[in-house]
Parts: sequence; structure tokens; C-alpha cells
Amino acid sequence: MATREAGKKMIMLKSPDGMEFEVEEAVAMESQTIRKMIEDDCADTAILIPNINSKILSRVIEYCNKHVPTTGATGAAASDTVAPAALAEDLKIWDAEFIKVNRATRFNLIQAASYLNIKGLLDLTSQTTIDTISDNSLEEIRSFLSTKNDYLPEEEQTIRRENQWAFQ
Amino acid sequence: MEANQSPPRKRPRRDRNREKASFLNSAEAMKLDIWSEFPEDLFETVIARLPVAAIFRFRSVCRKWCSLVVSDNFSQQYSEVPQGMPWFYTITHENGNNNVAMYDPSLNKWHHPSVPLAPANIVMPVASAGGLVCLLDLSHRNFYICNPLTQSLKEIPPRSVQAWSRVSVGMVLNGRTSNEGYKVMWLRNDGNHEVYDSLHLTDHTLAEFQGKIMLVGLLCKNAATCVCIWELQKMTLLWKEVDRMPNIWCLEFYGKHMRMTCLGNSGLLMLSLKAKRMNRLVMYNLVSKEWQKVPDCMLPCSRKKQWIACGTAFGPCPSASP
Repeated sequence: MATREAGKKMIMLKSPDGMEFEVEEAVAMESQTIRKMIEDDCADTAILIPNINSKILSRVIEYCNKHVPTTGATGAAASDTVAPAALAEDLKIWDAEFIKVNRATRFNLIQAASYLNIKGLLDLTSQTTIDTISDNSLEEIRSFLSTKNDYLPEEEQTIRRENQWAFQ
Repeated sequence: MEANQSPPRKRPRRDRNREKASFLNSAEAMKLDIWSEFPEDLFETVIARLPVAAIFRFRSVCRKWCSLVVSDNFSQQYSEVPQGMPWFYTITHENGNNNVAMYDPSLNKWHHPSVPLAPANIVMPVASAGGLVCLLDLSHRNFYICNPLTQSLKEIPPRSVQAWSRVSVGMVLNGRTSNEGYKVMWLRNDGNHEVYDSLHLTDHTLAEFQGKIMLVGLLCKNAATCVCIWELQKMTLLWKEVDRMPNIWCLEFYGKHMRMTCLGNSGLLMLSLKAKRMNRLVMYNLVSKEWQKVPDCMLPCSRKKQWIACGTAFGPCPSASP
């Protein structure tokens, strides 16, 4: 473990394609998966993050850097001067900008957020995905998923009747 | 960093509004567009974030989706998603029927599920916990527990007291979700009470009320009527007025003899205000101190505004089972 500034512990994250990222421990611990590794002392040197390539990992670190709660001497001073509501609004705008990525990247980010257990990122990426489907019709959903309607006609009627309230 | 390869994420409106004839082609294109490369193992994670009504609409897609909503993985995922505002579950009794109306504040929309009970069995919602609503019949003796979303219903043992008496009913969860069971408690004004536990019939606990105690009331002065919110001051035990309905809305009530019923908890209240030839629904958010008008509640096959007199707030939960 290296030390960049006094009192700030650094962690090395490695992607499977060989890139290394040095991040503050607090930033890395935004991921509950990494937090657990650190707390269980399984993270002495570098942590290899399987299945997440360097391009995605760098975006994830970017997200964590922005979302890590500001603590310590300088951090406390900063949050004293900025109102929490303004801070939340700022984050929201930043998130909206951050998620302007292509679909494949977004799906990769969902996978990374799920594996690394970063709740905020999972919420953000999933929400963006469902926003694209929540207003679609059943036929559209079936065709997106290449799923066939496998109900018998009377079964479909029953299930439709049971969930009728949701169609009104 | 993605700017040069990012395709437009939202299809232009003219595409979405195309004639049905060309629908198949555009759907084919969208299939590739939206769902290719979607990580299948994260399906439940993402679907759990759909609006509640959409989850239930999509049960009709195919068998897999239908069973997905009641799967353990889905309910686990759903419980981890930050839940929005509670919904309101109300029943009106026009024509001797149980007419259910369920209000979703986030979409500002009324839904009308049915209650799987014989029409003659008139019930009122009296309490809720973990996505389940407790219904009590007119005899104040028989209780039913129901998930309004799936419309599954269970009758629990009736009160052991034979004589009719008015009761207050409370409902709490044993754990974090309804899977760990729940308790229903009734209390009579003479202090008599009974507790039903869906898992075991032992300990008697009551939910703690955390935070503030609020009072909502109609304030009438001369011919003017206003809705006020008071908060109990913990030090002095005095009521302090903390908010008041916007003046412009109160003007409507001038000179009228208003009646009010108030539903809900969990920081969100629905006020049903009624006078002769007047019927208004208003929502008040205790946290943000915002007032909002609620659209009129009409049954699907009638144009008559329903007067909401009884109901409860509940947190919608697809997997809650009574």
C-alpha cells in the first residue's frame, strides 16, 4: 500500500487487462465488495477486479470519487459551506451527465455495479435502463426479448384479469 | 469519452408514433437496439426498479416473467430498491359493493383492483404493514389480510369477543418483510385487546412511533374553513401549528359546512374533504411540507366521484403474501 498524502490510505485496483488504478481507500470502499475484502484483510497489496475491463473500471472509479462522502479536516469545512440540498442537486446533474453513455457501456456498468455492490451506481444504471421500457406494450417487450407468448389463451385471459388494475 | 460512439438513446417521437403496419420492422430494429448484450443474470435487479404497475402489466408477457415477480430473487432485489412514496388503499361502498380504489402518488393515478370477497361481505381497510392491508368487516369481528397488488387474501381468526364493539386496529411486521410474519392487534376503548401473530401467537409488542406526532384538523372561523397541521412539542406537550393549506384552495370552502377524513401515515397524508355538492382530495407531504391536489376518484364503469371515507396507506410490495 502506498501513501499519497498523510492520513490517506491508498489501494491499488487491477483490471484483468493489466491496468492498475491507485485510489484512496475511502473511494474504493464505496464498493461494498471491496470494503469487505479490506475489512477481512484480504487486500494487502493490489486487488484484482475480475470481469471488469479497464475502461469500465475507470468509469466506476470516477463515479466513486464523485460520490465518496467528504470527511476529514478539509472535507468537513467544505460540507459546512455547501448546503446538503445544493450538494445533492449537484450530484444529480453530475449523474445525468455520467450516464450519457452508449447501451453496451451502460450494461457493463450495471454488471460492474452489481459485482462490486455499489448501490448508487446500480440504482442509476438500472433506472436509466427501465426508463426506456416502462411505457412499452407487451408486444413490444416480447419482441425486444425475442420471447414468445407461451400462455394458453385461457391462461392469458386469467392472468390478464388478475392484473387488470395495472392496465387501467 | 463516449461522445463519438454514443447512439441517440431516445427514439424520435415520429418513430414511436408510426402506423401499426410498420411496427414489426421498427420493433425488430429496437430489439437489437435495446436489449442485445443485456446481462441476463441481472434481469431481476433491473426489473425490480420498474414502476409497480408496469411490473404487473408485464406479468402477461410470458410464463417466465409471471413467475419472476413472485421469485425469491426478485423479492430480495425489490426490498433493496429505495421505495418511493406509499400508496393509498381505499374502499367505498356504493350499491352495497366493495369498490376498491388504490392511489399511486408517484404517477398521480388511481387503480381499481378487486377484493376476492363475496360482494355482500362489506369490508373496510383499517391498517397496513409490509405491503399487506388489513380489512375488517362491518361486524368488527372478522379480519382479512390482503396484498392489493396480487389480490391474494387470507382470513385470520375472528375476535373471540362476541358482542359488537368498535375497535382500533394496528398492524406490524415481525421482521423486515412480511415473509417473517406480522401481527394484527385490536384495541377496544375499554382497554380490551387481542394480538394475532401470523407465525406464532405469543409475545405482545406494538410498533414504536418514531419521530413526530402530528395532528391534522379543520379550523373554522366565522364562515372560513382551513386545514391546519399541528405538531406536538415534546418539551411542552403543546400543539404548535406548523403548516396550513394554501389560502387559494381554502377559499373554495368559504361558507360551506365541510367534513374531513384523513388517511395514511408514513409521512404522506390523504385528506378527503366533503361538503354539499363538493368533494375534494388533497395530499400533504409531512416531510417536504407540500400540498398537492389528487385527481377525482371514479369507478371504471361510472362517472360519479367517489367520496373516500375509509382507507389506509401501504407500501406496495409485489411479493408480500398474507
